[in-house]
Amino acid sequence: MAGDSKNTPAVSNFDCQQCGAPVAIRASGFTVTVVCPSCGSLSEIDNGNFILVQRSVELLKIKPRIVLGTKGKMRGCVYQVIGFMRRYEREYADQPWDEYLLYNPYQGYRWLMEYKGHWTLFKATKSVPQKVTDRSVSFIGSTFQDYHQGNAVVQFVLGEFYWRVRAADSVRTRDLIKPPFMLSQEIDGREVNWSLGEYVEPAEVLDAFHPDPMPEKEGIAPNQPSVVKGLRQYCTVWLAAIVVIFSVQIFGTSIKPLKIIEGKRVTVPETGLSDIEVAQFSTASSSTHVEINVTAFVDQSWATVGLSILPVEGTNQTPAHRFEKDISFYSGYDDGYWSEGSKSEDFLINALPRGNYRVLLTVTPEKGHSVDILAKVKVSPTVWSNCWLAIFLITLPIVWLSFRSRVFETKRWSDSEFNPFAKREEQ
Amino acid sequence: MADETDPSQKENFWKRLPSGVRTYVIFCVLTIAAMGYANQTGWFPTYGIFSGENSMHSSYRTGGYSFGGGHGIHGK
Repeated sequence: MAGDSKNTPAVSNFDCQQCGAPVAIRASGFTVTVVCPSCGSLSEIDNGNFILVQRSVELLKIKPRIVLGTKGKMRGCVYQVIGFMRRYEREYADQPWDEYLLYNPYQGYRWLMEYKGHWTLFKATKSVPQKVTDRSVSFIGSTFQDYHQGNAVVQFVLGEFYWRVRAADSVRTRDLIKPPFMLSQEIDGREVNWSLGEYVEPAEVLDAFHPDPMPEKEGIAPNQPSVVKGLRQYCTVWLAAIVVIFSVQIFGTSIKPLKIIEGKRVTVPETGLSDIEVAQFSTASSSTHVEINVTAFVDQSWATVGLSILPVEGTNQTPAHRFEKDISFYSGYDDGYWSEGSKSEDFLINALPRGNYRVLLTVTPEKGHSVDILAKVKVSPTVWSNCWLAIFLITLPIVWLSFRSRVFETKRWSDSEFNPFAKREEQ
Repeated sequence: MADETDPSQKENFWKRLPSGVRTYVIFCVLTIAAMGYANQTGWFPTYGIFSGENSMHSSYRTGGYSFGGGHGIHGK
Protein backbone atom coordinates (compact mmCIF):
# COMPACT_ATOMS: atom_id res chain seq x y z
CA MET A 1 0.00 0.00 0.00
CA ALA A 2 2.95 2.24 0.54
CA GLY A 3 3.45 2.18 -3.14
CA ASP A 4 -0.14 3.28 -3.70
CA SER A 5 0.44 6.76 -2.35
CA LYS A 6 1.56 9.73 -4.34
CA ASN A 7 5.20 10.09 -5.18
CA THR A 8 5.94 12.70 -2.54
CA PRO A 9 9.54 13.91 -2.06
CA ALA A 10 11.21 12.38 0.99
CA VAL A 11 11.19 14.55 4.12
CA SER A 12 12.48 13.31 7.45
CA ASN A 13 11.39 16.05 9.87
CA PHE A 14 10.33 19.66 10.17
CA ASP A 15 9.50 22.27 12.76
CA CYS A 16 5.84 22.90 13.48
CA GLN A 17 4.78 26.23 12.06
CA GLN A 18 2.47 26.88 14.97
CA CYS A 19 4.42 25.85 18.06
CA GLY A 20 7.90 25.32 16.63
CA ALA A 21 8.26 21.82 18.05
CA PRO A 22 10.24 19.36 15.93
CA VAL A 23 7.98 16.91 14.12
CA ALA A 24 9.46 13.60 12.91
CA ILE A 25 8.27 12.05 9.64
CA ARG A 26 8.44 8.27 10.01
CA ALA A 27 7.06 7.21 6.63
CA SER A 28 9.11 9.68 4.74
CA GLY A 29 8.20 9.80 1.08
CA PHE A 30 4.65 8.59 1.60
CA THR A 31 3.27 10.90 4.27
CA VAL A 32 0.91 13.60 3.01
CA THR A 33 -0.67 14.89 6.21
CA VAL A 34 1.05 15.51 9.54
CA VAL A 35 -0.50 16.47 12.83
CA CYS A 36 1.91 17.98 15.33
CA PRO A 37 1.97 15.81 18.45
CA SER A 38 2.73 18.90 20.58
CA CYS A 39 0.03 21.35 19.57
CA GLY A 40 -2.27 19.42 17.24
CA SER A 41 -1.86 21.76 14.26
CA LEU A 42 -2.29 20.05 10.91
CA SER A 43 0.17 20.46 8.03
CA GLU A 44 0.16 19.08 4.53
CA ILE A 45 3.21 18.30 2.49
CA ASP A 46 3.13 19.67 -1.03
CA ASN A 47 6.22 19.31 -3.23
CA GLY A 48 8.40 19.07 -0.18
CA ASN A 49 6.93 22.15 1.50
CA PHE A 50 5.00 22.05 4.75
CA ILE A 51 1.82 24.06 4.60
CA LEU A 52 -0.03 24.75 7.81
CA VAL A 53 -3.65 24.10 6.89
CA GLN A 54 -5.35 23.94 10.28
CA ARG A 55 -4.27 25.63 13.47
CA SER A 56 -5.18 23.94 16.71
CA VAL A 57 -7.47 26.08 18.81
CA GLU A 58 -7.14 24.13 22.02
CA LEU A 59 -4.69 21.81 23.63
CA LEU A 60 -4.82 18.14 22.75
CA LYS A 61 -7.55 16.56 24.83
CA ILE A 62 -7.38 13.03 23.55
CA LYS A 63 -4.42 10.89 24.39
CA PRO A 64 -3.94 7.73 22.31
CA ARG A 65 -3.61 4.52 24.30
CA ILE A 66 -0.60 3.61 22.15
CA VAL A 67 2.16 6.21 22.07
CA LEU A 68 3.01 7.34 18.53
CA GLY A 69 6.39 6.04 17.49
CA THR A 70 5.98 2.75 19.38
CA LYS A 71 7.36 -0.24 17.50
CA GLY A 72 5.94 -3.69 17.94
CA LYS A 73 5.84 -7.07 16.26
CA MET A 74 2.48 -8.20 15.01
CA ARG A 75 1.74 -11.16 12.74
CA GLY A 76 5.46 -11.66 12.19
CA CYS A 77 6.31 -8.07 11.15
CA VAL A 78 7.63 -5.11 13.06
CA TYR A 79 5.39 -2.09 12.68
CA GLN A 80 5.72 1.44 13.96
CA VAL A 81 2.67 3.38 15.09
CA ILE A 82 2.78 6.62 13.10
CA GLY A 83 -0.78 7.93 13.19
CA PHE A 84 -3.85 7.96 15.37
CA MET A 85 -7.42 8.73 14.43
CA ARG A 86 -10.63 8.69 16.44
CA ARG A 87 -13.83 8.38 14.48
CA TYR A 88 -17.50 8.13 15.30
CA GLU A 89 -20.91 7.99 13.71
CA ARG A 90 -23.26 10.91 14.23
CA GLU A 91 -26.05 8.63 15.42
CA TYR A 92 -23.70 7.04 17.95
CA ALA A 93 -21.46 9.97 18.88
CA ASP A 94 -20.87 8.52 22.32
CA GLN A 95 -19.40 5.32 20.87
CA PRO A 96 -16.26 6.36 18.96
CA TRP A 97 -13.53 3.97 17.92
CA ASP A 98 -9.79 4.42 17.63
CA GLU A 99 -7.60 3.59 14.67
CA TYR A 100 -3.83 3.44 14.74
CA LEU A 101 -1.87 3.67 11.51
CA LEU A 102 1.01 1.20 11.50
CA TYR A 103 3.90 1.38 9.10
CA ASN A 104 6.58 -1.01 7.96
CA PRO A 105 8.87 0.06 5.07
CA TYR A 106 8.54 -3.35 3.41
CA GLN A 107 4.96 -4.31 4.28
CA GLY A 108 3.44 -0.85 3.94
CA TYR A 109 0.54 0.34 6.06
CA ARG A 110 -1.82 -1.46 8.40
CA TRP A 111 -4.67 -0.17 10.53
CA LEU A 112 -5.12 -1.37 14.05
CA MET A 113 -8.67 -0.60 15.13
CA GLU A 114 -9.92 -0.72 18.70
CA TYR A 115 -13.58 -0.63 19.70
CA LYS A 116 -14.82 -1.49 23.18
CA GLY A 117 -11.66 -3.42 23.97
CA HIS A 118 -11.76 -5.47 20.74
CA TRP A 119 -8.89 -5.12 18.26
CA THR A 120 -8.81 -5.74 14.51
CA LEU A 121 -5.83 -5.45 12.18
CA PHE A 122 -6.73 -4.14 8.70
CA LYS A 123 -4.85 -3.95 5.45
CA ALA A 124 -5.98 -2.66 2.08
CA THR A 125 -7.11 -5.38 -0.31
CA LYS A 126 -5.36 -5.93 -3.61
CA SER A 127 -8.52 -6.98 -5.36
CA VAL A 128 -12.10 -5.81 -5.23
CA PRO A 129 -14.63 -8.12 -3.54
CA GLN A 130 -17.35 -9.38 -5.82
CA LYS A 131 -21.00 -8.81 -5.09
CA VAL A 132 -22.93 -12.02 -4.36
CA THR A 133 -26.24 -10.61 -3.17
CA ASP A 134 -27.35 -7.19 -1.97
CA ARG A 135 -26.26 -8.23 1.48
CA SER A 136 -23.08 -10.19 0.80
CA VAL A 137 -19.85 -10.17 -1.17
CA SER A 138 -17.33 -12.82 -2.07
CA PHE A 139 -13.65 -12.37 -1.37
CA ILE A 140 -10.85 -14.94 -1.66
CA GLY A 141 -13.29 -17.81 -1.71
CA SER A 142 -15.31 -16.68 1.31
CA THR A 143 -18.66 -15.00 1.53
CA PHE A 144 -18.95 -11.99 3.82
CA GLN A 145 -22.30 -10.89 5.23
CA ASP A 146 -23.36 -7.29 5.73
CA TYR A 147 -23.12 -6.25 9.35
CA HIS A 148 -23.32 -2.47 9.39
CA GLN A 149 -23.51 0.57 7.13
CA GLY A 150 -23.05 4.15 8.21
CA ASN A 151 -21.07 7.37 7.97
CA ALA A 152 -17.79 7.62 9.82
CA VAL A 153 -16.71 11.09 10.89
CA VAL A 154 -13.17 11.97 11.90
CA GLN A 155 -13.20 13.36 15.42
CA PHE A 156 -9.51 13.63 16.07
CA VAL A 157 -6.23 12.95 14.27
CA LEU A 158 -2.66 12.85 15.41
CA GLY A 159 0.61 11.89 13.70
CA GLU A 160 1.09 11.34 10.01
CA PHE A 161 -1.05 9.91 7.26
CA TYR A 162 -0.63 8.94 3.65
CA TRP A 163 -3.71 10.83 2.54
CA ARG A 164 -5.20 14.24 3.25
CA VAL A 165 -7.28 14.03 6.39
CA ARG A 166 -8.84 16.56 8.73
CA ALA A 167 -11.21 16.49 11.66
CA ALA A 168 -14.87 16.36 10.58
CA ASP A 169 -13.98 14.53 7.33
CA SER A 170 -16.73 12.01 6.62
CA VAL A 171 -16.88 8.80 4.57
CA ARG A 172 -19.60 6.26 3.94
CA THR A 173 -18.73 2.91 5.43
CA ARG A 174 -19.92 -0.64 4.99
CA ASP A 175 -18.73 -3.50 7.19
CA LEU A 176 -19.15 -7.13 6.24
CA ILE A 177 -18.08 -10.04 8.38
CA LYS A 178 -16.95 -13.61 8.25
CA PRO A 179 -15.43 -14.05 11.70
CA PRO A 180 -12.62 -13.62 12.51
CA PHE A 181 -12.43 -11.50 9.36
CA MET A 182 -14.08 -8.24 8.47
CA LEU A 183 -14.26 -6.50 5.12
CA SER A 184 -14.58 -2.77 5.32
CA GLN A 185 -15.57 -0.51 2.46
CA GLU A 186 -15.10 3.25 2.61
CA ILE A 187 -16.56 5.52 -0.03
CA ASP A 188 -15.31 9.08 -0.24
CA GLY A 189 -16.77 10.81 -3.26
CA ARG A 190 -15.71 8.72 -6.22
CA GLU A 191 -13.00 6.84 -4.34
CA VAL A 192 -13.84 3.38 -3.01
CA ASN A 193 -11.42 1.63 -0.68
CA TRP A 194 -11.67 -1.92 0.59
CA SER A 195 -9.71 -3.29 3.51
CA LEU A 196 -9.61 -6.70 5.10
CA GLY A 197 -9.32 -7.02 8.85
CA GLU A 198 -8.66 -9.91 11.17
CA TYR A 199 -9.56 -10.03 14.84
CA VAL A 200 -6.55 -9.73 17.14
CA GLU A 201 -6.63 -10.95 20.70
CA PRO A 202 -5.95 -8.12 23.18
CA ALA A 203 -3.03 -10.07 24.63
CA GLU A 204 -1.25 -9.90 21.27
CA VAL A 205 -1.77 -6.12 21.07
CA LEU A 206 -0.61 -5.72 24.65
CA ASP A 207 2.50 -7.71 23.90
CA ALA A 208 3.26 -5.73 20.75
CA PHE A 209 2.38 -2.12 21.53
CA HIS A 210 1.71 -1.95 25.29
CA PRO A 211 -1.47 0.18 25.21
CA ASP A 212 -1.93 2.21 28.38
CA PRO A 213 -4.48 1.77 29.77
CA MET A 214 -5.51 -1.49 28.15
CA PRO A 215 -9.29 -1.30 27.59
CA GLU A 216 -11.49 -4.07 28.95
CA LYS A 217 -13.52 -6.10 26.45
CA GLU A 218 -17.18 -5.14 26.28
CA GLY A 219 -19.78 -7.28 24.56
CA ILE A 220 -19.03 -9.24 21.42
CA ALA A 221 -17.23 -7.71 18.45
CA PRO A 222 -18.73 -8.17 14.97
CA ASN A 223 -15.78 -10.28 13.84
CA GLN A 224 -14.87 -11.88 17.16
CA PRO A 225 -14.20 -15.60 16.76
CA SER A 226 -17.00 -17.74 18.08
CA VAL A 227 -16.62 -19.45 21.45
CA VAL A 228 -17.19 -22.64 19.49
CA LYS A 229 -14.29 -22.92 17.12
CA GLY A 230 -14.83 -25.18 14.11
CA LEU A 231 -18.51 -26.10 14.49
CA ARG A 232 -18.53 -27.22 10.87
CA GLN A 233 -15.56 -29.49 11.56
CA TYR A 234 -17.34 -30.91 14.59
CA CYS A 235 -20.33 -31.72 12.38
CA THR A 236 -18.11 -33.32 9.75
CA VAL A 237 -16.50 -35.52 12.39
CA TRP A 238 -19.95 -36.36 13.77
CA LEU A 239 -21.19 -37.41 10.34
CA ALA A 240 -18.10 -39.54 9.73
CA ALA A 241 -18.52 -41.14 13.16
CA ILE A 242 -22.15 -42.01 12.38
CA VAL A 243 -21.04 -43.79 9.21
CA VAL A 244 -18.35 -45.68 11.12
CA ILE A 245 -20.79 -46.64 13.91
CA PHE A 246 -23.24 -48.18 11.43
CA SER A 247 -20.37 -49.92 9.64
CA VAL A 248 -19.08 -51.38 12.91
CA GLN A 249 -22.59 -52.44 13.87
CA ILE A 250 -23.30 -54.17 10.58
CA PHE A 251 -19.82 -55.69 10.27
CA GLY A 252 -19.87 -56.88 13.88
CA THR A 253 -23.24 -58.53 13.37
CA SER A 254 -22.01 -60.44 10.35
CA ILE A 255 -19.08 -61.96 12.29
CA LYS A 256 -21.23 -63.80 14.82
CA PRO A 257 -23.81 -66.01 13.12
CA LEU A 258 -27.34 -65.85 14.46
CA LYS A 259 -28.81 -69.10 15.85
CA ILE A 260 -32.52 -69.41 16.50
CA ILE A 261 -33.90 -72.23 18.65
CA GLU A 262 -37.65 -72.63 18.73
CA GLY A 263 -38.84 -73.87 22.13
CA LYS A 264 -41.78 -76.09 22.76
CA ARG A 265 -45.22 -74.71 23.43
CA VAL A 266 -46.48 -75.46 26.94
CA THR A 267 -49.97 -75.12 28.34
CA VAL A 268 -49.89 -73.81 31.89
CA PRO A 269 -52.89 -74.59 34.09
CA GLU A 270 -54.44 -71.88 36.24
CA THR A 271 -52.53 -73.23 39.23
CA GLY A 272 -49.26 -72.42 37.45
CA LEU A 273 -46.07 -74.36 36.75
CA SER A 274 -42.58 -74.12 38.18
CA ASP A 275 -39.27 -74.56 36.34
CA ILE A 276 -40.59 -76.19 33.20
CA GLU A 277 -37.87 -76.66 30.62
CA VAL A 278 -38.90 -75.07 27.32
CA ALA A 279 -35.63 -75.01 25.36
CA GLN A 280 -31.92 -75.77 25.32
CA PHE A 281 -29.19 -73.87 23.58
CA SER A 282 -25.40 -73.69 23.40
CA THR A 283 -22.95 -70.81 23.06
CA ALA A 284 -19.82 -71.26 20.96
CA SER A 285 -17.73 -68.28 22.03
CA SER A 286 -16.54 -67.29 25.46
CA SER A 287 -18.81 -64.26 25.64
CA THR A 288 -22.13 -64.44 23.89
CA HIS A 289 -25.37 -62.56 24.27
CA VAL A 290 -28.67 -64.36 24.08
CA GLU A 291 -32.16 -63.03 23.64
CA ILE A 292 -35.12 -65.11 24.76
CA ASN A 293 -38.51 -64.14 23.49
CA VAL A 294 -41.36 -65.44 25.63
CA THR A 295 -44.90 -65.32 24.29
CA ALA A 296 -47.77 -65.84 26.70
CA PHE A 297 -51.04 -66.22 24.85
CA VAL A 298 -52.98 -64.15 27.33
CA ASP A 299 -56.16 -62.33 26.45
CA GLN A 300 -57.90 -60.00 28.91
CA SER A 301 -55.58 -61.40 31.58
CA TRP A 302 -52.03 -61.45 32.77
CA ALA A 303 -49.33 -63.91 33.72
CA THR A 304 -46.11 -63.56 35.65
CA VAL A 305 -43.22 -65.24 33.89
CA GLY A 306 -40.01 -66.16 35.66
CA LEU A 307 -37.14 -67.13 33.41
CA SER A 308 -34.07 -69.07 34.51
CA ILE A 309 -30.97 -69.87 32.50
CA LEU A 310 -29.28 -72.94 33.88
CA PRO A 311 -26.14 -74.74 32.76
CA VAL A 312 -26.91 -78.26 31.49
CA GLU A 313 -24.09 -79.74 33.52
CA GLY A 314 -24.43 -79.38 37.25
CA THR A 315 -28.19 -78.99 37.48
CA ASN A 316 -27.93 -78.61 41.23
CA GLN A 317 -26.22 -75.26 40.77
CA THR A 318 -27.90 -71.99 41.48
CA PRO A 319 -29.32 -70.59 38.25
CA ALA A 320 -26.83 -68.35 36.45
CA HIS A 321 -29.58 -65.89 35.60
CA ARG A 322 -33.11 -65.39 36.71
CA PHE A 323 -35.56 -62.74 35.52
CA GLU A 324 -39.20 -62.02 36.05
CA LYS A 325 -41.68 -60.06 33.99
CA ASP A 326 -45.42 -59.59 33.89
CA ILE A 327 -47.09 -60.19 30.58
CA SER A 328 -50.56 -58.82 30.07
CA PHE A 329 -52.84 -58.06 27.19
CA TYR A 330 -56.19 -56.30 27.22
CA SER A 331 -58.25 -55.06 24.32
CA GLY A 332 -61.76 -53.94 23.50
CA TYR A 333 -63.93 -51.48 21.63
CA ASP A 334 -64.55 -48.04 23.05
CA ASP A 335 -64.96 -45.44 20.31
CA GLY A 336 -62.85 -47.82 18.25
CA TYR A 337 -60.50 -50.67 18.92
CA TRP A 338 -57.97 -50.32 21.70
CA SER A 339 -55.40 -52.60 23.23
CA GLU A 340 -53.01 -52.43 26.13
CA GLY A 341 -49.94 -54.48 26.90
CA SER A 342 -48.20 -57.11 24.84
CA LYS A 343 -48.34 -60.87 24.60
CA SER A 344 -44.59 -61.27 24.34
CA GLU A 345 -41.53 -60.05 26.17
CA ASP A 346 -37.82 -60.20 25.38
CA PHE A 347 -35.19 -61.18 27.90
CA LEU A 348 -31.62 -60.21 27.03
CA ILE A 349 -28.73 -61.99 28.73
CA ASN A 350 -25.32 -60.39 28.42
CA ALA A 351 -21.99 -62.15 27.95
CA LEU A 352 -22.80 -65.78 28.63
CA PRO A 353 -19.70 -67.99 28.88
CA ARG A 354 -19.25 -70.88 26.43
CA GLY A 355 -21.48 -73.84 27.35
CA ASN A 356 -24.84 -75.57 27.08
CA TYR A 357 -27.83 -74.07 28.79
CA ARG A 358 -31.41 -74.89 29.63
CA VAL A 359 -34.24 -72.38 29.64
CA LEU A 360 -36.68 -72.88 32.50
CA LEU A 361 -39.92 -70.99 32.96
CA THR A 362 -42.00 -70.48 36.06
CA VAL A 363 -45.43 -69.21 35.12
CA THR A 364 -48.17 -67.89 37.38
CA PRO A 365 -51.35 -67.04 35.42
CA GLU A 366 -54.13 -64.81 36.62
CA LYS A 367 -56.58 -66.66 38.85
CA GLY A 368 -59.05 -68.63 36.77
CA HIS A 369 -56.99 -68.45 33.56
CA SER A 370 -54.77 -71.05 31.96
CA VAL A 371 -52.22 -69.85 29.45
CA ASP A 372 -50.07 -71.21 26.62
CA ILE A 373 -46.40 -70.27 26.71
CA LEU A 374 -43.87 -70.35 23.90
CA ALA A 375 -40.19 -69.47 24.11
CA LYS A 376 -37.80 -68.68 21.28
CA VAL A 377 -34.04 -68.42 21.87
CA LYS A 378 -31.82 -66.23 19.70
CA VAL A 379 -28.08 -66.75 20.18
CA SER A 380 -26.03 -63.71 19.04
CA PRO A 381 -28.97 -61.71 17.74
CA THR A 382 -28.52 -58.27 16.27
CA VAL A 383 -29.00 -55.79 19.08
CA TRP A 384 -28.96 -52.10 18.21
CA SER A 385 -28.96 -50.62 21.70
CA ASN A 386 -25.16 -50.10 21.79
CA CYS A 387 -25.35 -48.47 18.39
CA TRP A 388 -28.06 -46.04 19.48
CA LEU A 389 -26.25 -45.39 22.74
CA ALA A 390 -23.02 -44.56 20.87
CA ILE A 391 -24.90 -42.22 18.52
CA PHE A 392 -26.55 -40.58 21.51
CA LEU A 393 -23.18 -40.07 23.22
CA ILE A 394 -21.44 -38.53 20.21
CA THR A 395 -24.46 -36.33 19.44
CA LEU A 396 -24.67 -34.81 22.91
CA PRO A 397 -21.56 -32.58 22.48
CA ILE A 398 -22.81 -31.44 19.07
CA VAL A 399 -26.15 -30.38 20.54
CA TRP A 400 -24.43 -28.52 23.36
CA LEU A 401 -21.93 -26.79 21.04
CA SER A 402 -24.66 -25.83 18.58
CA PHE A 403 -26.64 -24.28 21.42
CA ARG A 404 -23.62 -22.30 22.65
CA SER A 405 -22.78 -21.19 19.13
CA ARG A 406 -26.35 -20.07 18.53
CA VAL A 407 -26.40 -18.01 21.73
CA PHE A 408 -23.06 -16.40 20.81
CA GLU A 409 -24.15 -15.58 17.25
CA THR A 410 -27.43 -14.12 18.47
CA LYS A 411 -25.47 -11.75 20.72
CA ARG A 412 -23.00 -10.94 17.94
CA TRP A 413 -25.74 -9.90 15.54
CA SER A 414 -27.87 -8.09 18.11
CA ASP A 415 -26.21 -4.73 17.25
CA SER A 416 -26.52 -5.17 13.51
CA GLU A 417 -29.23 -3.73 11.31
CA PHE A 418 -28.86 -6.89 9.21
CA ASN A 419 -29.52 -9.24 12.10
CA PRO A 420 -30.63 -12.54 10.53
CA PHE A 421 -32.02 -13.84 13.82
CA ALA A 422 -34.29 -10.82 14.23
CA LYS A 423 -35.74 -11.50 10.77
CA ARG A 424 -36.61 -15.05 11.72
CA GLU A 425 -38.25 -13.91 14.91
CA GLU A 426 -40.32 -11.34 13.02
CA GLN A 427 -41.41 -13.97 10.51
CA MET B 1 -6.95 -14.94 4.52
CA ALA B 2 -5.93 -11.81 6.34
CA ASP B 3 -2.74 -11.75 4.38
CA GLU B 4 -3.52 -12.45 0.76
CA THR B 5 0.09 -13.19 -0.05
CA ASP B 6 0.65 -15.52 2.87
CA PRO B 7 0.16 -19.20 2.01
CA SER B 8 0.28 -20.27 5.64
CA GLN B 9 -1.95 -23.33 5.35
CA LYS B 10 0.80 -25.91 5.01
CA GLU B 11 0.77 -27.20 8.55
CA ASN B 12 -0.17 -30.70 9.51
CA PHE B 13 -3.91 -31.26 9.10
CA TRP B 14 -4.30 -32.68 12.59
CA LYS B 15 -2.48 -29.76 14.19
CA ARG B 16 -4.57 -27.26 12.28
CA LEU B 17 -7.78 -28.60 13.81
CA PRO B 18 -9.03 -26.66 16.85
CA SER B 19 -8.11 -28.47 20.04
CA GLY B 20 -11.79 -29.03 20.85
CA VAL B 21 -12.30 -30.81 17.54
CA ARG B 22 -9.24 -32.98 18.17
CA THR B 23 -10.64 -33.93 21.57
CA TYR B 24 -14.00 -34.70 19.97
CA VAL B 25 -12.35 -36.93 17.35
CA ILE B 26 -10.65 -38.90 20.15
CA PHE B 27 -13.94 -39.11 22.04
CA CYS B 28 -15.70 -40.49 18.95
CA VAL B 29 -12.96 -43.04 18.32
CA LEU B 30 -13.12 -44.25 21.93
CA THR B 31 -16.92 -44.41 21.84
CA ILE B 32 -16.90 -46.43 18.64
CA ALA B 33 -14.18 -48.72 19.98
CA ALA B 34 -16.18 -49.28 23.17
CA MET B 35 -19.29 -50.00 21.16
CA GLY B 36 -17.46 -52.47 18.91
CA TYR B 37 -15.90 -54.20 21.92
CA ALA B 38 -19.24 -54.39 23.74
CA ASN B 39 -20.93 -55.81 20.65
CA GLN B 40 -18.27 -58.47 20.27
CA THR B 41 -18.30 -59.47 23.92
CA GLY B 42 -22.08 -59.45 24.10
CA TRP B 43 -22.62 -56.55 26.48
CA PHE B 44 -25.71 -54.45 25.93
CA PRO B 45 -27.69 -52.02 28.03
CA THR B 46 -30.61 -53.74 29.72
CA TYR B 47 -34.13 -52.82 28.80
CA GLY B 48 -34.67 -50.88 31.97
CA ILE B 49 -32.43 -48.09 30.69
CA PHE B 50 -34.68 -47.34 27.74
CA SER B 51 -38.14 -48.56 28.66
CA GLY B 52 -38.18 -47.60 32.30
CA GLU B 53 -39.03 -51.15 33.27
CA ASN B 54 -37.16 -52.56 36.17
CA SER B 55 -37.94 -56.19 35.98
CA MET B 56 -34.68 -57.67 34.81
CA HIS B 57 -32.21 -59.04 37.28
CA SER B 58 -28.92 -60.56 36.34
CA SER B 59 -26.71 -62.25 38.85
CA TYR B 60 -23.99 -63.35 36.52
CA ARG B 61 -21.22 -61.59 38.37
CA THR B 62 -22.12 -62.92 41.79
CA GLY B 63 -23.24 -66.37 40.77
CA GLY B 64 -26.30 -65.96 42.95
CA TYR B 65 -29.60 -64.69 41.77
CA SER B 66 -32.13 -62.04 42.47
CA PHE B 67 -35.81 -62.32 42.07
CA GLY B 68 -38.91 -60.21 41.97
CA GLY B 69 -39.24 -56.64 40.82
CA GLY B 70 -42.34 -57.01 38.66
CA HIS B 71 -44.12 -53.78 38.01
CA GLY B 72 -47.03 -54.82 40.13
CA ILE B 73 -50.01 -54.62 37.86
CA HIS B 74 -53.43 -55.49 39.25
CA GLY B 75 -52.35 -54.82 42.79
CA LYS B 76 -49.96 -57.73 43.01
